[in-house]
Amino acid sequence: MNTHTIVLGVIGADCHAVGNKILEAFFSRAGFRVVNLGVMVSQDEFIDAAIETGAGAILVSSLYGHGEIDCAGLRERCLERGLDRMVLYVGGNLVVGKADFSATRDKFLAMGYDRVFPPSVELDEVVRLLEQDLALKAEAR
Amino acid sequence: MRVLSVDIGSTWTKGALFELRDGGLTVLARAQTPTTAHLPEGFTRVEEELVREAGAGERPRVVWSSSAHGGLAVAALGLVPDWTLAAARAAALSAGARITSVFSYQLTPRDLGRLNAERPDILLFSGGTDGGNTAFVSHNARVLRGLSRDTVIVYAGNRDAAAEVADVLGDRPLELADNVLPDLREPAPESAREAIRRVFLERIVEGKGLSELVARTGSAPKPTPLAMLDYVRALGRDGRLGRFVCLDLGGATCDVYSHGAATPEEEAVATAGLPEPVTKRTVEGDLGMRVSARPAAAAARPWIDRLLAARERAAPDFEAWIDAIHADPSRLPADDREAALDAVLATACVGAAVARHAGRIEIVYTAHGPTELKRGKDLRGFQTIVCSGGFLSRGAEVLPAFSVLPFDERGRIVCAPAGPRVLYDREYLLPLLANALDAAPEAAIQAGIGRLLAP
Repeated sequence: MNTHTIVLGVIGADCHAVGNKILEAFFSRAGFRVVNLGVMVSQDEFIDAAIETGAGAILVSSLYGHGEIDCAGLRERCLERGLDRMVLYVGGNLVVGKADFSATRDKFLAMGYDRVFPPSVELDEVVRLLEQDLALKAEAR
Repeated sequence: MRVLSVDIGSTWTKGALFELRDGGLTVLARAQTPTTAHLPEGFTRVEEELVREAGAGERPRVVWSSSAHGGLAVAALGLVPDWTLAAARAAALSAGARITSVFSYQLTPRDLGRLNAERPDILLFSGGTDGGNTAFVSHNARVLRGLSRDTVIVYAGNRDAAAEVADVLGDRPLELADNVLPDLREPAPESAREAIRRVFLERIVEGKGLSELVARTGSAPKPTPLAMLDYVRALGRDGRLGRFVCLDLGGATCDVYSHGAATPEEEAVATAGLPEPVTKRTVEGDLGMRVSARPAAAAARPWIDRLLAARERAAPDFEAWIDAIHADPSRLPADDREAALDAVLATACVGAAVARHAGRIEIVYTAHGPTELKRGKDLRGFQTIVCSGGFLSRGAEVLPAFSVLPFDERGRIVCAPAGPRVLYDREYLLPLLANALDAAPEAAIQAGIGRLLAP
């Protein structure tokens, strides 16, 4: 596992491309080797790319409100396919409407994601957490 | 200058004697003979006949290719099927290989048993992007210590694991090449292709009984499909054919070559999977007109059913024809009825082979309405079809192959050419001109395009 390689993409049938480009630029500048799969990425494409590149984390974006359906089962699928220490992050407009974010966060934590972010999150903070989480996973090996 | 071009196929050894004068190539003589068990025999027969027919002249430069004795047999090993395995497969095909089998993830003892039973000439061993996974490669290298020494390993996987692979497998036939997929978005087949070519020349030519010819002609052969792929690329650069597909349908296989890059409009559609090469080859071992007639009748069944219905031909008649050519692969149609049935088989083979070569478009319903998602090579805007090979070059009707079945078995759009013009290699000269490409590049290109475009 490479603690500096991360896989990035927008999950499901979601075509929101702009935020994805911003994330790629930001994480690259922060020193990560970013494998950006772009928009409309399936769960298996995330996993395939993570296996092939030996990535330490998968960062999933979802902007169009179907995040709950698209993101469910990714942790289980990772385990099934041999990625038993993958750091999984998810962020964006994860559900439709103005639901309370803490409820959304709990829902996605229960699905097995390590961190859940609203669209308003400061990316510096995400980088800090990501470095910390990757170091922990690396130690656990 | 005279150029003597010979192609040793699995059934026929074909040749032509060209004269290069004032920058143009003219055909002085043609000859063919059944391929002999000892390959140089048939070669010599063709050579003598050509020289006899053309009359004495200067000593010709000899250029030649071979696909005899099973061609260049390559097995491919990758990590994830859609990534490094797909990249390794594409690299092997672009080197002119016939793919014997493919393996992904961890190689099992059973997989090793299969490899040792098949004994391919080469195992193309990939896995991991540069800086990516090394664990699978490391495991697979250890399993491959049990591989037969008849198979040369070409390692083209993660650069970080190359030293370990050389350590573990260094005492057996091994070539190291650059990674076929250094980065997920950038397949790099060139180095692996070059390594395969080197192995072909240094070790395989000997085993196929061709070294005698190398010594006598003073020139090295190319695998036939590699010569054709290089020629297709050269024809494409000329521009007059536009973006095009070249079909070579034989008794055992159907080769499909395509040349052309995606337009900005085509690139605007959301795509998944590996980027497509500008010049691409695929080969189908189960789609052929004689030796493979029976598997073709099964694999191309959806096309056959529709074509038989459209041409009001009875299915039992067709089955009887398949039985007849299966029993006697040298059988040719004796009358119009048999010719029509043979034509159905040819068109169906083309339909199935091009459908496998072409990409797919899936309509995905999103929050913004229906959206297209594309995988593979989009041939819909390709303007030209070039028909080569004994069964198509005389004027086969191939267009229905692209229109009778617009969707695949999962309801996705097949990105086959939409309204192309069809050009015929009527004298079946393209493979022989392909051999002449290195000796007289410009003349070989002009002669090929001139013949295709001739009214």
